[in-house]
Amino acid sequence: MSDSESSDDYDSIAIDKNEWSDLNPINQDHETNEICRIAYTENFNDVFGYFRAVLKANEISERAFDLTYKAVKLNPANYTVWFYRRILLKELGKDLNHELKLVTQIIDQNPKNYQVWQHRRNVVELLQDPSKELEFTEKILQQDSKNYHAWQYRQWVNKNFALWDQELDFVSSLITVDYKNNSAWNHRFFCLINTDHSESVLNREVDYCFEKLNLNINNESVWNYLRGLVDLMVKEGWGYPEKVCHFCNLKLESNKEDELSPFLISFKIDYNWTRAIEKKNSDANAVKEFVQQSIQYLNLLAQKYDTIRANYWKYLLSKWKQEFDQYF
Amino acid sequence: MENLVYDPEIIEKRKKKLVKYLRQILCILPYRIISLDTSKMLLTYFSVSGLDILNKLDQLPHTNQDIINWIYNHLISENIRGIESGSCGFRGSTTLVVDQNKNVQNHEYDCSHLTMTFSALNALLTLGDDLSRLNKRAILKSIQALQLPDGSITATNQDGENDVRFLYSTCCVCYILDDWSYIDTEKAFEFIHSCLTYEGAFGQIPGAEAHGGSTFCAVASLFLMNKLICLSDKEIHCLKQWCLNRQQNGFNGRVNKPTDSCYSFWIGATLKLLDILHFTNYDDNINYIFETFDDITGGFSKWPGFSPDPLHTYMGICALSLVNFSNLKKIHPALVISEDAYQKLKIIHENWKN
Repeated sequence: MSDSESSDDYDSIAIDKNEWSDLNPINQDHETNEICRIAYTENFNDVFGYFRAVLKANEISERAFDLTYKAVKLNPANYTVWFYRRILLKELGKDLNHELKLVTQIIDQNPKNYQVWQHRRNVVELLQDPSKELEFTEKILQQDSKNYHAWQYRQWVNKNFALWDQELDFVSSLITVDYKNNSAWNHRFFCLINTDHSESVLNREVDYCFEKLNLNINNESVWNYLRGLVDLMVKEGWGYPEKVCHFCNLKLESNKEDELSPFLISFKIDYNWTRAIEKKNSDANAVKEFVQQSIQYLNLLAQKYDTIRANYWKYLLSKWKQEFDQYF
Repeated sequence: MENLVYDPEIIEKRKKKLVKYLRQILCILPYRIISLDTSKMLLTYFSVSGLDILNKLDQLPHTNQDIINWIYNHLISENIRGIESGSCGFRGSTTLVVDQNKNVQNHEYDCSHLTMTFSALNALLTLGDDLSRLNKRAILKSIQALQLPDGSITATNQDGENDVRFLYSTCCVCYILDDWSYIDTEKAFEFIHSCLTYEGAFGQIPGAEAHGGSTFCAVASLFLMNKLICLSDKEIHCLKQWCLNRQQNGFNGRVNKPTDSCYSFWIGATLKLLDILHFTNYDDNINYIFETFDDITGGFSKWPGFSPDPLHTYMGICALSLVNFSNLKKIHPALVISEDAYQKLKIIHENWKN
């Protein structure tokens, strides 16, 4: 027994050859095994030898069903094994709740595997029962709060079964624990878009951003979220929220070293550009102010606050000069 | 203090170790990578192309022709029942092959995988194959069968995921086979566009978090389809800033996450396609990539001190090529093969036209 098989698992994945005496296993062709050869264990070769035979014969049976379990335990990334298992689930009328328990275990052991999440989705679709799903994804996210598969799956549950009630509280609690959890912020936006995003709700969300920025001004997650909110408000026709301008100006004017986040500065520069373009032919004084401030900020970014992207800030400087050359 | 990363002797030593690591992939692999059993074609592509970019294709552990023949053994050119079932293309391995004749679908559950088809084509081009053994129509008809109403594409005909990764593989295949008539590129654009998030970059599916890997897949797909211009000025601006903001020293793949060497490639290539890679700090990037170099095994890993793997090793090599490190071959930033391999493709396209 190789050291890659634990003694706990070995019995559940070993083949009982007596059970299979009527079927010959099919070996993998040696010739095609010459390149990228994996040092398969004897047990792996046994299990997949019989699985190849089962596929060729299109066998629908209990022993084939058990065989798929052994195969996915050995390699949960083999999508054909999962696909065949789903066929057997249906043909044999297997208990889908029991299958859900099984896939729960396998996801727990392989939380970043695509196929196991896909299988869970297929089972839950057949069951049409989402009652355990939010709790399950929450548990996985407790182990890794940014697990991309878990978030993607949770979003599918929310949308497919219209389960939105718990979401705001859920993301708020995650953000309270870690206000830099970008996955939680993304989920918050997702829920907003799919439920109530009226003007009053978006205003509330803007205040929520200010609250988090007051804890840490240099949080890229919040700046991105804030920009998303502002874009949405403008798109809905409610105009650019004044309090966002006010908040940015306040922070910039305070001039405290640790308050001058590069995200705050570039947020203001982007705002200035939009306004300057808007007012280019109507309000020369306002444009002059935007231009001067932006040039000052771009130099600050390039020289002091975000030097790793100095080449980019210098390039933006040249863009400003090009667009507003009459103000220089 | 001298930066040893640029020391010519150190570079030579490291190249030798990388070559050894890449050669090993094509020979024998330990059982603990069993989850890659269905992705051997991807590993072959990483190894062959990695050696090519390092200018060491002459050090393959097998002849070009042996590897080419091995690759073609994975090609399904004919469906079992003669009806279109989305199964033609290249398999990732022969794990589920049961017959001697490998170029016909062996049984109902024998199918190709889009990423493996893409990998096979890239490896074949790098090895100098002229693609004449391909049944282009069969492959393209299968891809057509795999495109869904929302424009996305599933990797296989076995209930697989349909995210932006497979749209990328598809665009590469269509580009290489020089035929876009089997997919709806308008719908493909719509799907990609729907993956844009409030952060300005792309998630894997609509609603999912903006991510470096999916952003590369989206941007490279748009580039290959000639549809980058379909994004608005504002969208391009936000996309550029999101990508540039991923650089910490190396790059991360999502906001507020740790750096990982593979994003030096995913983000690096995206920035190259957007024509702004030169706004990044090359030295910091190169230094970070080499911090993940494992001196004993000769591969790159995601983080310093972590175990290396074929993906991060290949991505590391590609990322270094993008920033003109040493005398690595230049790469095509969307197809992710060397310029040499890309030139061979252009000749093949010429021949097809005549």
